[in-house]
Formats: sequence, C-alpha cells, structure tokens
Amino acid sequence: MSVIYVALPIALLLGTAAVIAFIWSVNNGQLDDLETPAIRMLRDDSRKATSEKHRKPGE
Amino acid sequence: MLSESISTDLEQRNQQCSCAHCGLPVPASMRHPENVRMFCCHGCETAYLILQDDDELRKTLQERQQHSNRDLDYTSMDHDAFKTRYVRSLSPERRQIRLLLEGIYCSSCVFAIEKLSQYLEGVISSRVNLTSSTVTIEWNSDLVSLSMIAQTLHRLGYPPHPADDDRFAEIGRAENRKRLINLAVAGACAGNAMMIAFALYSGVFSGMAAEYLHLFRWTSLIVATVSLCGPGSLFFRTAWSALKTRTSHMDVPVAVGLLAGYGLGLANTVLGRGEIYFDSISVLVFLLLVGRYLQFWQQRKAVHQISLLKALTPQYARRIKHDHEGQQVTESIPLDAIEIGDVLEVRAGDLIPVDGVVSSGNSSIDCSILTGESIGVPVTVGDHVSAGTTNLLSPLVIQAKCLVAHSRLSEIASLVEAGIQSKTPIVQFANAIGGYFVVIVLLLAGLTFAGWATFSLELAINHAMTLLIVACPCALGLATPFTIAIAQARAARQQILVKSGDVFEHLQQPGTVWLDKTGTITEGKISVVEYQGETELIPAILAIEKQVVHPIANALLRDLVSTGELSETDHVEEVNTLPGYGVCGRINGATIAVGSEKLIEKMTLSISEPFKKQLNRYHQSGLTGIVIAVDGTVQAICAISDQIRPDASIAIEQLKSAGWKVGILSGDHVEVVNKVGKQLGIPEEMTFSQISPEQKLEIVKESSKQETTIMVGDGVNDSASLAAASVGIAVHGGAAVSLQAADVYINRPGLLGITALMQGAKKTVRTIRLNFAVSLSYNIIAAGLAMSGMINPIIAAILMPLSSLSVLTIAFLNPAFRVDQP
Repeated sequence: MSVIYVALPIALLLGTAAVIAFIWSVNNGQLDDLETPAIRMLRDDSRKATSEKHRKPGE
Repeated sequence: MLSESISTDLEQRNQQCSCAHCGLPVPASMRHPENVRMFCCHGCETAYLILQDDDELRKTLQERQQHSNRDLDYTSMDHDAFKTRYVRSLSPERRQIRLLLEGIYCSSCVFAIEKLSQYLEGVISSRVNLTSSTVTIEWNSDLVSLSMIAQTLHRLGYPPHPADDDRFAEIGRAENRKRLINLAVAGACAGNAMMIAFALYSGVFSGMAAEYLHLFRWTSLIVATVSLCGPGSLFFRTAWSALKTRTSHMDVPVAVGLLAGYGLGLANTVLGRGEIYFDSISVLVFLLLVGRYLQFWQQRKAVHQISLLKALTPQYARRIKHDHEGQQVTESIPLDAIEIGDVLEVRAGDLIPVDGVVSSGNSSIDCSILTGESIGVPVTVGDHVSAGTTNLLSPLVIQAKCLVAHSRLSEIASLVEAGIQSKTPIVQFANAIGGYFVVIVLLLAGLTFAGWATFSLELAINHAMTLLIVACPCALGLATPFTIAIAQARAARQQILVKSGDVFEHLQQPGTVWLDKTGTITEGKISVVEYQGETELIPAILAIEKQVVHPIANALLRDLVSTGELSETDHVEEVNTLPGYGVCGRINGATIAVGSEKLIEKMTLSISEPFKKQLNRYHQSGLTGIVIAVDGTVQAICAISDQIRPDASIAIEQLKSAGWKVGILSGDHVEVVNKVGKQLGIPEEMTFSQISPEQKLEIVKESSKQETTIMVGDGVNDSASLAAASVGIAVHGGAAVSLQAADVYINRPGLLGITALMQGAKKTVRTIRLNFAVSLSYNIIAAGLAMSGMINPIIAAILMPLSSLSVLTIAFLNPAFRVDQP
C-alpha cells in the first residue's frame, strides 16, 4: 500500500482541524474587532515601575 | 513659566508617581523627587513644556476644559429608566454597559481608557473596541455609580454616550461571523481541491496509475461536495428564490454552471472517465464569497460610522422638582423618563427635549432643523416649543405636553418609514444581465448538443455540459462586488460614507436633484451682508452686543470687527434685552438700541427716508434688516442673512452641466428662498418654499416616479424625503434622523461632495461595465472552444483565474474617488 493512502487523509484532516480552529475563534469573538487586540498586547499589565516598559509606544 | 491652570485631576490623584502630562505612572528611572512635576518619558515632558509656553494653546485648553466642565452632568445615567434600557446586571452588584466614546483614535486612547480600573475604585474592567469606538465597562454598583464613571471618562477626554444600537450591532456581528465561517470553509475546500488538482495535472503529463487517479478523483469529489453543500448553497438559494419570483439574478447562471460542473464531475468520477471540474467549482465558490464579503464589510463600516455620529445627540433632560422640604431642585433624567406635565429646564444652547409649553422665560428658538427657518423664532410664556429645536437666548422653563415618543420629532421619524417603503428599488446591472446570460448560455448549450448529437450522443452531452461550466460567469459575479467595495472604501476616505452599493447605479441616469436650503445650500448660520452708516458707531454696537447671547449678536460680533476699531474703554450700562426686538443700553451717556425693524415701532424711533428705502430694498431681496439707533434716531442699518455656501454655485453649475435638473425644497419664508434660488440660477417653478416635511415627501415621491430623484438635506424636516428619494444624501452636520434616513452621508462642509459622489459613481459604473465586457469576452472564448469541442480542463483552469485577475486589476484601477480628485 502506498504512503499516499496515509498522507492524503492526514493532509485533509490537518486542513479540517485548521478550519475547526478558525470557526472556534470566530465564535469566540476573536475576529469581531481586528484593531484593538493588536494594540492591547503592547500594554504592560504589571505595575512594577522598574523598567522602560512603561513608556508608551511611539515615544 | 509653569502655570497651575491645566493641572489635571489625575495629577492630583497621584502626585507622587504619575506623569504630569499623561497621568501614567512614572518609572523609577525617571523619578526626580526634587522636581515639582515628574514625567513618564521625555516625550511627555517636552509636550508639557510646549503647552505651557504657548499662550494660545493654553487658552484653547482652558476653554476646552471649561466647556467640558459645563456638560459634566451625567446623573441621568443613574436614573432607573436609563438602567433598564442600557445596563446589564451580571450579578447582584456587578453591572455591565456598552458606551460609545467620542475621540478615540489610537493606541494611547486604548491605554488610557483600559486603565480606568486603576483611576476609579469599583471599576472591574474596561475593554475598548477601536473598530466600533465603544468601551464595555464592568463595575461594582456598590462602590461606584455609572455617572461617576461617565464623568471620569469625560475628564479623560472621551465624552461617553449610551450605545443605542445594541440590537443591530448584535445582528451585524452574527452576520459577520456567519460570513467569515463560510469563507473559511470555502477557502479550505478550494485549497485542498487545488492541491489534489495539482497531483492530477502532473498525472496528465507524466502518467499515473489508475488506482491513484481514482483516489484523487474521489477525494476531490468529497471536497467539492462539502464546498457546494456548505458555503456554496448560498448561490442555489438565491437562484431558487429569483426563479420563484421570476426576477433575474446573477446567481442563476452561477448556480447553473456550478450544478453542471458538479454533475459532470460526479458522473465522470463514478464512471471513471473524462474530466472532473471540482477544483474550478471550489475556487469559484471561494472567490465569489470573498467579493461579497468585501462589499458587506465596507457597507458595515459606513453604516457604523454614521450610527456613531447619530449617537452624539444628548439624551437627557433637566427636570425641576420640589424635594421634601419644598426646595426646588433640578435633576438630570433620561428622555424616556419624561412624563406629561413634567417641568423641565432648558438652558441656553440646549436642545428642547420634548414638545411643550413655555411656563417661564423669554427666549429665541432655532427651528431650522424642524422647519427650515433660518432666523430664530421668539418665544415667551404660553408659546409652544417642539422637541429637537434649540434654545438660543436665555434659560426657559417648559412643561412637557406629551411623551418623547409622541413628539413632532418622533412623528417625522415615523414618516421616514413611509418614505423608505415608497422607494423604488433598482435592479443591479449585474443581476439584469444575469437573466439574459442564463438564457443565452442554455441556448448555446442546446445548439452544441444538437450539433454534436449527429456524431455521438456521449460527445454531445459532454460538450454541452462543458460549455455550461466554462461559461459560468465567475469574473462577471466578481466584477460588481469588488468594484463597489473598492469605490466605497475610497469614498469613505474622502468623507463620503456610502451605505449601499446601489447608490452608484442610481446616479447613472440624470434626473432631478432637490436641495434643502437652510444648512445645505446655506451655511445655516447668520452673517452680516452689508453695513450702512457711520463706522464710528461700530465699537459701540459691538460693546452692546457683547452683553447678549444671540445668533444675530454673534454674527455682528464676528463680522463687524473687521470694519472698525474696538475700543475697550467704553462702558455699557443699563443693558436691556427686548426678546424678538433687540437690545438697548447706555454708552457714554447715549442710549443705543440695536435690533430688528420692529424696534422702530416699539421704541418710536425716527428714521430718515434713505434708510427707510434701503430697508425696503433689503426686504425685497430677502435680507433681514437691522437698525442701529442713537438717542431715538436711526443712525445706521445693516443687512444680515444666512449666507449661501461659497461652493454652492459651482456645485449647482456642475450638476446642471451633467444633465441634472436642480430644485429647492425649503420650509423657510418665500422671499428668502426665492432670493437664494435667483442667486443660484434655479428656475422659479423648481423653487418651493414654506412647505412641511409631508409636502416635501410628496414632491420627492412624485418626481421619483418619473425619474431618478436625489434629495440633499440636513434637517429633521428633510428626513422623510431623504428616505423616499432614489438617493438621499445627508450633508455635514445633519440631524440624527436625517443620517439614518439617507443612503449617503457627506461628512465634510460644502456641496462639492455631491458632485464628487456623482463623478465617482459614474466612473465606478463605467468600471463595472468595462469589467463585464472583459469577463464576457473570456466567457465567449471559452464557450467558442467548448462548442467546437476543443476545450480541455487545462485551458479552462488557466482561463478562469486569468479572467478573475483581470477583473480585480480593473477594479483597483477604477479612477473614482482617487485622492488627487477634489
């Protein structure tokens, strides 16, 4: 039996897994707002004022 | 020189370790306890120093702060009526609300607002959504009130408004999610089908064992089945409903092509011979969905931006009531909570919240939004005032005569519904073509079958089916959504917000453009046109007008300064305003009166013949005369009017030369409207004055039965006709209802946006047609090849993406709404 009988289903399964992950993220609301999260990750949540991290971006 | 004047609340709250400029914590490396002020970074320090040094900037900031302090009253948000409408209870004390914020632009705003829980005890979380300019706040109602949160947001520079469109936002979000999931499934299917097709194509050239060939073909069949039954079912559903209602739609030929391709592929897979078209089908479904998603996304964005502007109208009133000790107190309540008989205070500059009767105070009311009248209407005790109009002069106390939902304003808003229903829908060019397309393709398929049937039945079926597949209007289906989405995005960048793509097609056939006068053709505010008399009088006029708040006083102050020196030494005494007439006072011993012509009778002023004649002339040409009297004698006169926008005549000229008829629909007085019409060269039979919103609606309905009718307006009184017109255009500064009713909102002053929209629409539709021609020629080539039996899957596989790519390129090259255009 050729390896293709294993490889092809695996390829399709991987694709299906990616689609399911995407559907989950959409239903989870992760794609409702595409602008703010990109900015939010720049913020430093810890309040320890020990580093330069408290600078705002662009300054 | 450091001044205390713009020290912020935040600074006081956390003097030791917060930045004097932005309020963020100061990192240890930047701490200098010996300094009075500390900064979180050098950028803030520089910005702070620049602000301190620049006098003008400091003044602006101070003014802004004073202005914002005036509107800091958010206690209406603590009212029960507000809570039941907007606030969600998560647990006994946890509350949640969505607020629209003004002035969110960038990452710094997100930082500032999401740190709210650090400034304010009791706030549990605040999450900003930049796309919709909203913040979702959760708080503990035992620790902090909503009005306190709103106040803090306002102080930070983001005045909050309740997000009213929650239901629509929810629907929009669900629709967006559904479309994204469909896109993902279609995309995955297309990718996998292509992958398998790649293996099959290489098999064509280098040979492949039948065993593997079957494996690939069957897998491909599965993938295509998922694509068609899942996201692709949309095309069959629209095609079916179009067939049922006997309308023509682009999706009909698409569905025929998809079905033919799938059927032939299925038969060939089962029989193990011939070609399969599963890759083409899956890619086709994906591409068509991408085009539609882009258009949906742009429309949603435009609608969203407009709803944001709509929310800025204040939603509260100030009710006067007596507390248990009999003292008069005012409380701020939401509009929904107003009951009949409530006594309400309306400050100067505020909107009147509900229809009512004045119970104390004299003032002047700006009714332009409701009636189109450009000059304020004097009101006194016992007079009726309407919701939505603005109190100009001095505080009024009114008694509510009906509920907000039954006021004249809401009545007009329900007229909008009637307008929308009477609107004639347009059949999109693409859909109109779709009808012919499917007939021609079926005819050709029949011919092919008949032609080849004499040779072999199998060949005949094969060629006829192939024709149906290659003639599937993929590029044709892509052309419209792509071109419209790109044009909409570019238009939005020029502040022209287009709610629906149909607008572009509506603007093709020139018809009639109806323009509102006040606020659309004219500036919507009064200015001085002419001044006759001694210029030495001007300083005195200005000194006396400075004492009152009134649009005419503002106009005099603004426009007369340039013609005379303002002397600060003159002292004004005994200032007396006569509502509806004018104002008088004593300067250096002389009595000076400034006011309308009615003042002559009221104060028995003497006036010379030349001045009298001049006043008459003003009256005839639609200007309003103002007299200035010193000690009982008229010494000077001036004319005021609501000035025509500087670009109005150019815009109207451009419209006319493009073949449009231009008319005016106004609620203002006949002389004023005729004067404006004459100045702009609009024929008298096209100039309508003193008409009600209902009459406006009738005129627009009547003319849209005959031809393309465009309504341009800004007021509440225009909104019903905006909704009924083929295309309703709301202009800069329009009332909330008009924004809702219109198809297009032009968010920049002036009328040139209208001509820009028309030119853009023309170019966009031209691009759509060019795209049709290009994609049709691909279809013709493919159909020709299929009829002669010369087509093979490779040629089809090359032709399809090629045609889609050319359509995309043309859509991007569309010259409409380019930045270099006015």
